[in-house]
Amino acid sequence: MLFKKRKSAKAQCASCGSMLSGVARVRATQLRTLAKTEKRPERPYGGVLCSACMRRTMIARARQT
Amino acid sequence: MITVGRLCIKTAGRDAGKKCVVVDQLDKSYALIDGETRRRKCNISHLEPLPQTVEISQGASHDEVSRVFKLLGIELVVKRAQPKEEAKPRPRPVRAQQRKAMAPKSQEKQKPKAAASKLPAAKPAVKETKLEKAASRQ
Ligand SMILES: [Zn+2]
Repeated sequence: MLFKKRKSAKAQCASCGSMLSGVARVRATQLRTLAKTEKRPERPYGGVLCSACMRRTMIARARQT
Repeated sequence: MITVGRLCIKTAGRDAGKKCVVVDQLDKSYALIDGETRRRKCNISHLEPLPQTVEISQGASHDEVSRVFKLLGIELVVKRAQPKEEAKPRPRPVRAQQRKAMAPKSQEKQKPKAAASKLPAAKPAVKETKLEKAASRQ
């Protein structure tokens, strides 16, 4: 019998809920073998917000000050 | 809006959220920026202009930009390769030393075991063959 090993769930944007690209979808044990830069995008809020939401927050923050 | 000396915040990429100043206008859509960000060409659509401006000349050097940022109260982190120190013979880690101390003992233990395991298996086989040979000769 062969069982297919399942991938981890797709990461979602914390603001709009869209699927995040560039976030590693491997098992937790494999995650340990990856470098930090291979696990999520290298921008602020990378792996948490999508690029559009991040840009929106950055612009909003710039206009506040 | 985007002219030389304009303070901006970068809104995209690795340097997003960092302050920079427009050093040069390269193109209709590109500007050379410097400051908290890396000194690099940047699309104007990735810049959010701030109301402040700074007095710098067009194509100002990084030193000039860092001086201006100091006046604003922002210290730029200088990343310069430091001269390498001469390699000193450093003490081996404790774990490695312990392993080294353990190594000969474990070898001594293993050897007799291996010999013991080999002998009983090998001897009877030899004896049997000898006996058989003797029997066949007789
Ligand atoms: Zn989003």
